[in-house]
Amino acid sequence: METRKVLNIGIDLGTSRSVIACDNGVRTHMSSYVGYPKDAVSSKMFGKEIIFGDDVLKNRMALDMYRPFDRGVLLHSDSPDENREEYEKAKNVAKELLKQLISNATAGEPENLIFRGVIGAPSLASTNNKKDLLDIADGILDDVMIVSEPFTVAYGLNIYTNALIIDIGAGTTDLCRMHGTIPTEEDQITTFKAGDHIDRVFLDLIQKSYGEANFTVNMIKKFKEENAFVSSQGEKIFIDLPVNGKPTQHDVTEELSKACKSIVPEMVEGVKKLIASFDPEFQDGLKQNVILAGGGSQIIGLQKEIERYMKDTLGYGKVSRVEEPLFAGANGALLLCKDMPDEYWDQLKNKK
Amino acid sequence: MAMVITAGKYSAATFEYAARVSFSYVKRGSQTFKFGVKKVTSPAIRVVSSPFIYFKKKITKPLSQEGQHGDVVSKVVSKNEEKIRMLEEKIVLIENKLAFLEKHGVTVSTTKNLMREKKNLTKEKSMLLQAIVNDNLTLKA
Repeated sequence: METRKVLNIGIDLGTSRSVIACDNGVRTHMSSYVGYPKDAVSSKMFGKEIIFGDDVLKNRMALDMYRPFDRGVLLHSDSPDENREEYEKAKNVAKELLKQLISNATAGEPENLIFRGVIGAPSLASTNNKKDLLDIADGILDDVMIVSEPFTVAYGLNIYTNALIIDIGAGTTDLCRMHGTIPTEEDQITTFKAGDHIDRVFLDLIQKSYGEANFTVNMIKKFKEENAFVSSQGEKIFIDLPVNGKPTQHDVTEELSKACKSIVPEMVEGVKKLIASFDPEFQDGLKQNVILAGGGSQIIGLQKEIERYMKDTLGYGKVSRVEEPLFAGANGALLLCKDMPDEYWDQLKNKK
Repeated sequence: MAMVITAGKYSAATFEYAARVSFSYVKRGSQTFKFGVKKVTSPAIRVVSSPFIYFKKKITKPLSQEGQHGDVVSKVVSKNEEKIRMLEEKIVLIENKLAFLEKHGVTVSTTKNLMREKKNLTKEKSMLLQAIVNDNLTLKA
């Protein structure tokens, strides 16, 4: 008879940020960066062998920096044989990241807990991509399931039908239509125009406008996360960038707006495809219930911008945003994990 | 003058004698009264007080058997102290837990505990979850 206690965990291993929600009440997130000291001096300075999260960015000059996920999946996951060494390295780094994330959320808990986790994966993650996630969790979680990220968002909101979820992450934007069943491949679209794409476009535009300024993609990314908008109204936005070592103010209102808008057309094209290929009787239901989630959904004015595009291309559309965009995926995964009956977990365990 | 003195001596003796007789009467009389009252009231008092004497014996016996009333009192006090100590330990544990939660910037869950529990799911939800399990079984195949 099983007497150990169970800790349910919802995990969103993101390209830029990893989020965890547990039913011990802890919810937290960290940047998906892992760093290893470059030499003995930096190792002595940090006093530990691995550094995680924002500390990696702050000390990146003294660290070998890794971001194990790209476009929502493990690096080289689609072609492991071509880059075997890097693929294995990415897997080990991802394991360390997951271990740290869980450790952050379960510090102080008894040691004999059973860790059950549901990990979100991009909509159209391949079988290989999902298997990699299982491998990463192996030895860290006692039981694990992989579920489509936008589906976990919908599950967390208790919306199973007549809705279209758009989960905007750093690596991917996942679209998924809900119609009362588990979404199939036809119900989901993944585009790679997401947060990282905005960073790249923003970087290019600033370089074109202010060639004399010195900056890195990390500086741009941080600035974007604090100021992202697509609205045509509002205040001017200035960024301090060094020119010949001297911080100089630059007006980047136009550049930032253009960069943020750059993900919208492809996103709306995806919405159009999912709606147009759906049963005509139920298309209105989808149009009226487009839900934005993920860190990218925090761009100011994005809802209105998508609605405007939908009006032009589909006649009309109603877009809303979840209350906690960053935690929506992990919250849903946690809820799903908690709802999953023990016998279902046993089925998976017996399959090992 | 001598007559007056003699007459005075007799008068004083007579007065003293009268006083002594009177005192004797009062004393004798009170003794007689006291004896009579005692004779009448003693049995009545004994009968009336007998139940109280019974209870007194019953109550004081265990205490006298213990020998020291202080032991019983100290036992009661130490028992309470033990309870208070346990409560204090629990409070310290709760405070530590809250400090941990505050440190990590987290919200408190409404979940009561982590024990395995029977899940009351609708048929539709069960089917949905079973479909997810099937997907994962395929993944592991």
